[in-house]
Amino acid sequence: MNKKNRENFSNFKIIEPPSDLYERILFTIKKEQELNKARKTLFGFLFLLLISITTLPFSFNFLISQIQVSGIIYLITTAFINLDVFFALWNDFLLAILESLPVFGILFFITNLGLFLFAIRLFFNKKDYYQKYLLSKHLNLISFI
Amino acid sequence: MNEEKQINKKINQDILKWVIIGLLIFAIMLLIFSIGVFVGEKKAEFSCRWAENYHKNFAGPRQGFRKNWQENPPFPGDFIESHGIVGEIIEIKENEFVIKGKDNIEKLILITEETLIQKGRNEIKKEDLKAGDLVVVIGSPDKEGKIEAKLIRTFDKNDKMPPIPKRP
Repeated sequence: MNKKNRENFSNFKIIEPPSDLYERILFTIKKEQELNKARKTLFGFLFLLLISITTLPFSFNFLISQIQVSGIIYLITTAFINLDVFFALWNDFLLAILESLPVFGILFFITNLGLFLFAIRLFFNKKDYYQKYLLSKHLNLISFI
Repeated sequence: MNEEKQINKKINQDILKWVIIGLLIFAIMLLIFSIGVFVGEKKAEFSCRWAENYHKNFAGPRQGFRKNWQENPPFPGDFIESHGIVGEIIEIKENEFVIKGKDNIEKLILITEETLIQKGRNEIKKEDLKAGDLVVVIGSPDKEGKIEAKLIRTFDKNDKMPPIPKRP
């Protein structure tokens, strides 16, 4: 039976795989992994940007209202108008300003602004990454059509 | 051999650099925390003295409101500022006046011979102060829950300044 099979299959040509097939497979796998990573980073950036942009006006308004309620502007104005008195009573002025500081408002706004700037920085650092990902998606779509 | 030594030396220097940076950051955080605790203590101390002496300074039962204060300790955000007050004068007495601050809490301000009273850049006398004036007071608290003013500056309500601070 085996001899018969060998005779039947003796007309087939044995195709040798190309020499660089292994490297090309590894390259494709690596490219897919990079594209997946780029996709995750892109969605993460978009989510972060959306959240930070949406909450930025609220946090800014909250800060402004906290500053108005605290009265710290009056204290700082008084300090700047009377600089000689400010230097003479600097410890009382400093304590007065520190006591009136709207800490939560400042913290909330700075955190929000930091997230926004981080999202922008992420975009500029990974701009090429995103372009490659979007381009590959575009090419796939064209070839599909 | 030499290369290995150089690599090890570089690793040790990197570790040392990060240890120093870590210690510096920890020291700065500790300093900021200490400042926060110090300011909080000042406010809490004045708030306690103000409440204990409220009945003497303003009005109330002879035994004071101290019992209520101890039963219901205030939320940390409710402590009263003791070194700088912005508000409206509601009553003027001989050497002191009552000011209504941003939290609608009245505070007693003592005027001494060393108190500097100004309107704009001009110095004025304590007799020029009247009820309804918007003032900024810089001073230090005393043991009776009053504030000894070192600088009093009056603002004209028509000046282009934010509205009088009021807690909503």
